Amino acid sequence: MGDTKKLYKTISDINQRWDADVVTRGAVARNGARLSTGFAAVDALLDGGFPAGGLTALVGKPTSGATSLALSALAGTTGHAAALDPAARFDPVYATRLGVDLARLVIARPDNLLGALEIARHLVRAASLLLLDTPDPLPDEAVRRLLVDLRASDCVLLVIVPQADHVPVGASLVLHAERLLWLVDEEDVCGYRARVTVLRGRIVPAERAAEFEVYWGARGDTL
Amino acid sequence: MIVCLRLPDFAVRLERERQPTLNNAPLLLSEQRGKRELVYAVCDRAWKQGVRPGMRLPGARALCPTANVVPAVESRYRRSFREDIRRLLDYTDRLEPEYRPLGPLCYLDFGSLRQEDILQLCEDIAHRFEAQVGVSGGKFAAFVAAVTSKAGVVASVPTGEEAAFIAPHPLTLLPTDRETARRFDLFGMKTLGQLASLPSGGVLAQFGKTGLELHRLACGEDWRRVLPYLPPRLECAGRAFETPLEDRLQIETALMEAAEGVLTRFDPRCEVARTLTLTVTFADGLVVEDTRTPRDGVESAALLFRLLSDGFSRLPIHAPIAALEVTLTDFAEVLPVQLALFEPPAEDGERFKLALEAAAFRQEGTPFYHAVTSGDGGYLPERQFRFEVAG
Repeated sequence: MGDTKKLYKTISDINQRWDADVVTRGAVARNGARLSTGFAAVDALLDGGFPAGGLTALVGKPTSGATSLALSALAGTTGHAAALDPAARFDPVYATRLGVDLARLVIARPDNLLGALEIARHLVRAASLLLLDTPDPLPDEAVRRLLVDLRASDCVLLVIVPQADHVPVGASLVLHAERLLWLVDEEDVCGYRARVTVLRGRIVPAERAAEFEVYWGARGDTL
Repeated sequence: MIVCLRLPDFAVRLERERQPTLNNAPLLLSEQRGKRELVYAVCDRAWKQGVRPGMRLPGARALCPTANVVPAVESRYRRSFREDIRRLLDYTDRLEPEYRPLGPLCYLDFGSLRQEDILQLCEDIAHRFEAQVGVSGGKFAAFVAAVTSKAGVVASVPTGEEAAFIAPHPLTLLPTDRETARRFDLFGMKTLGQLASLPSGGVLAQFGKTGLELHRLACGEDWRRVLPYLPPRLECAGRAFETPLEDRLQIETALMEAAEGVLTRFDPRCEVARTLTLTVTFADGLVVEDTRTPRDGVESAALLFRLLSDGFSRLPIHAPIAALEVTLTDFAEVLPVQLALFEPPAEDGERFKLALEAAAFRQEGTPFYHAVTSGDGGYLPERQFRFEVAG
């Protein structure tokens, strides 16, 4: 018997003996639950992580830590995920370094933002996490349509925008990421320390902040 | 006001405190760089005879034949410096330490304290640490004041007189690279005042932005602030033996105990240590260290023990071992990895596939991909992965 089968049998035995759902798969957020960001300090700040069934906007320029935060959360989910990448900015190599299993990630490159939001509407009830990285503001009406489906789902929707006035309507959580300093290993830059600040949150009070460090070489590779 | 504290002859002083017999003769600390043995730090007497850090050891011995040569253990000096920094945190949390072999530095900012109080505190610090202390409105002027003062003495530069104070001092005090220093020399500039007297436009044209920054420092214009200091986290476990150990099995047992002991200090599921140092003290007082930076960090006792055992095997063992210490530093959070064991249930996959098909149908022409990393380590990003059409 393989390890996986042994594991499933053990889980099944435990569930039969104690209760139906004593052991469940981890890291798949249920509506209202939280999906870990992968950084303990940020999880503590966000009361557990990104809210499932809600839209989280990550505001940050390139290398601010916003994408790393999103990819780290992506690496933590065990469900299916999709990256909507209208600007063709998604870097699979970097995602792999942050622990993302590319086999479970679908990357869509629609021509425009309306197309991206339409795809998101279709995927929102089936995916655990949707990631949308856009340099432009999202159209309000299409976002509102998406939010109706999103709130009825268990999906975490992360939207990365470069500036605060591009935050989409209806975002239940708005975070601002900024890079504080580069981390240097001898002469090589091996990562950076970033700070994430809550700009707006329904559960989390605004203005709270947490710091986290991103290392590129943690898996033994260098850029 | 910014205070610069310098601990002169730091490494030499530590070695002399450890072995008082070294006080009688000039002292050279040596370090191994590749196959070369170089001078790491020197005492005043050896300096006067022309020995400089970075020289090859045979040359240094020729210049100062009476000198005692002791191998330098930089990690021990750094550790001692960290202890000094901890003591300085009693005064203020705004401090910036900078380790240098000849004399570690530390900048302090006492905030809005009155100047008399700052000078009083500086007197106390200079006396307590036997340090050179400079006080000024800017970091560079404070540094120059510290470097040029005597140990245990506070040199204060009045506000507005920074440029005049630093003008006669040599250009070598500037934080320059070797090439810029060589070019300054070719231009015949020796003092900070000579650099300050040049027009800034000319300096910018000749030396670029870096040169302009140096010119500003030479003019006494230094707006750099002292940042708050966060002490680096380190976890230690170790053991001293009443009877020094010689048996390899006993040593390995002690290493295993140390590995297990240090791993109880943090949760390896949440964080990993990325630097590991094994310090071995021999019965004759000599201390050697082995430092490693495992690629994926230290997260289990078995891995830590393997690294320690491997590091121990590489150390030159010449005497029984009196103490062992394991130090873990450079902690980082564990990156999450999608677990292969927890595949999503089949119905989730089917649902996602149907949703994807529906989206592809509605958004005809939109490409959906799976990314596959090629793993051949190509330098260009486009050679490191490829897209395969999903479904």
